[in-house]
Amino acid sequence: MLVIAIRNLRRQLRRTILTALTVALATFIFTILVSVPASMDRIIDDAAKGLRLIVTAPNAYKLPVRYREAIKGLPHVTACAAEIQWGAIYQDLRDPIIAFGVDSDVGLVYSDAEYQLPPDAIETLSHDRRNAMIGSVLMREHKWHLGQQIMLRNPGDPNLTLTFIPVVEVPAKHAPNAFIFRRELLDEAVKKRYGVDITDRASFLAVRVDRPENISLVIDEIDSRFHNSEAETETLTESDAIANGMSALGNVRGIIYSLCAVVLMTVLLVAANSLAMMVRERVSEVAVMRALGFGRGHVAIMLLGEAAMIGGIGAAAGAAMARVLFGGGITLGAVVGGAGYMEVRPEVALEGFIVAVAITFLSAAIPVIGALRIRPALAFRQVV
Amino acid sequence: MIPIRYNLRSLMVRRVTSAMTAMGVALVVMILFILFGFIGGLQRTLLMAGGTGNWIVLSKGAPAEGASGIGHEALNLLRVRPEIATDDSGAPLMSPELIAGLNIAPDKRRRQFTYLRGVRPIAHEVHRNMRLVNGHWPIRGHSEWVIGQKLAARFPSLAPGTTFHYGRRTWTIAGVFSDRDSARESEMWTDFDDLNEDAQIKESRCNSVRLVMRPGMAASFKQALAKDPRLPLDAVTEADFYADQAKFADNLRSLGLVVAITLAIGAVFGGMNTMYAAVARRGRELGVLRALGFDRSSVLLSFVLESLIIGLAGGAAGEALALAIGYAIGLNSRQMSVGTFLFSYRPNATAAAAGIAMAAIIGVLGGLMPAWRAARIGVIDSLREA
Repeated sequence: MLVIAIRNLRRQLRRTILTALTVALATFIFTILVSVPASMDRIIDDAAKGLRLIVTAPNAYKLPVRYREAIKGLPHVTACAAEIQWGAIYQDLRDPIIAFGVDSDVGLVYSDAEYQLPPDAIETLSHDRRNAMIGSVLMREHKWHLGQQIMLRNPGDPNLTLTFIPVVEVPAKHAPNAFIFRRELLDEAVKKRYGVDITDRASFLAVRVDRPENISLVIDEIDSRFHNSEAETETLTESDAIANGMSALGNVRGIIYSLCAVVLMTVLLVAANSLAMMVRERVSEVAVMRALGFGRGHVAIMLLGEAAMIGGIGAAAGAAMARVLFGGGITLGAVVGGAGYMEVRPEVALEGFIVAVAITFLSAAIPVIGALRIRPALAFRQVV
Repeated sequence: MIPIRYNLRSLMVRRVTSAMTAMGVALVVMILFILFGFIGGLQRTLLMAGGTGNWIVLSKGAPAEGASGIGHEALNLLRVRPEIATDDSGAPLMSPELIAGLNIAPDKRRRQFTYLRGVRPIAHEVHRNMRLVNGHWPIRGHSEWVIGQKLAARFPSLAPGTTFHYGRRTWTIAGVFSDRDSARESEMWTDFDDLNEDAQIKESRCNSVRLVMRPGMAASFKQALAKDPRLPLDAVTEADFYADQAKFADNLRSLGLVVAITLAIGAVFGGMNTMYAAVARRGRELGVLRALGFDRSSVLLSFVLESLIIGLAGGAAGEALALAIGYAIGLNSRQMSVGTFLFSYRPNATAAAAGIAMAAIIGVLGGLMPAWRAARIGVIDSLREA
């Protein structure tokens, strides 16, 4: 049956190729689209395994760095580090980099083992003021290498330019487009350029908790500690904070899934059309097979098998192309405060493959059911 | 030329196949139509914020209002510029404005970043299209906000009378304003001095200045800014400023077009399949047509036209489908958000034209190669089949 099916596909090679190409294109788009929320969810899930909280002051003018000392003194808090976000650009406005300036306590909040870094990797930040830790995807996209000097500048002011030296590359799995530097570099540059002291200013405080069961307790402690203060805080787990940031994108997730649905429907229609034509042209062949004694099941298996093969070839090509082109991951610019990232992982490519094959299989259902209903005698009357 | 009735009748003979091919085109056009509708809504929202004759002044090199800072000295120098229009009392129509940001979403897991703009009463004369829908403008010293209509619709809990803790005090929402459905309706406004006092900004400054320019004085104004070292400022019309903000909509459009074009290529392949099957089935017809005297170019044109008809039918169906879906799920009345901007879906003529153009291209490309094959079929060979 397999040999017959392959021969049948080769008989109408042009149609087979065109249908397979349509399935390939649709699978390619579907896999890439699904990879965007899947990549973001992976970052959120990865963050959910940690013991970190993020403290922000969303409805205040600034988050004071001095809150750090008060938070460190709270029960179940093992460390607290202040971080400041700097929206810089690399060479021009089309290349934004979201960089985070950290203080010396960062090594207590984030551990080398957690990020699969060599021992004391984070500690190397303190060896030189210009040292930076950069995500591997960001390094690859800009063709940076360790030890190279990199200059980032303020978007509206070319005179505010800082030089960094990457000394640690963070694996893509954890922080694909991280850019972490020592904040005193930025503090001094801003003071020198604008006469403004930002040393007591933080974008957020990263807090490490001793045990998972104490996370909710610490969240409540921090927010009640600063209730009715100069800057009321809002404390979230790290995964919630990332999800919170992604919600700033708006309705992107809904739009992506809607597009995926339309892509699948297009495949369904095109494949169904093609397979319907294929079945229609083989009425006589089906009649002969039935007359020779092949049961309905055999005929169904042969026709559905051909459909699955076309879908399989197309889906494999599309998923493979998506995996090859985007398997290493790409950053999504300044989206989501720097966490914007997309990677086509093998399991997502496989998901795309399976969905496309299933859709093609489904699209053959109605034409095949029609073919099975053919009565050989009536069909022969048409043939003869 | 072969009469078009031939093509229409042929399409009706294989109507199921034609309909399915047209539906494939319809789905692609539907995506494009809806995408352009969203882009159109976003661009309209941004561009409507630009008032006629209004300019925005920022500190030199500042890419956005939040990154800009204009000092007291520069403000005083601007105030006496002759290029700025004045009101009946002779006061310059110039509004210094202070910007702060806040998260207005009630749910911690969501973020709706919004601009809080501190203005003085002169702002209502500068932004001439703003109207109060209900309530009153913020009164100085009362810690009050007014909220844009789009924001009010998105967050019904922020009705006039409700309170919100921000900065060092609790603010009361005093009213709702409208501004021609523009981006300004995604903001909240308060009194300049209340915001300044709450933020404890030590140096006298504002983030931006909005002003009304006297007609024909723009060049003189820009020259004055360029020449005076005490005025390290940039000035553009509000229309240009918001057009620049709208550029990121182009990125969204490019992304959507990539998806639509990739799908369109798939639809072209589907169309090719259909037309190749049609050519294969109508071999003897083609022989008869050639024998009757229709030349190769007529046959080519006829098949391309047939494919084009399928494409255009799909295009019309796609646009109808997009309108129907938009109506069914209330897209027109729903607020979408990108960053700080709230906007509505706005199907427009550009969306319709783009959809039909895409459908036509798919139709022509899908039919070209099969039509070429049809035109090349030998008369004798095809009649021998008969």
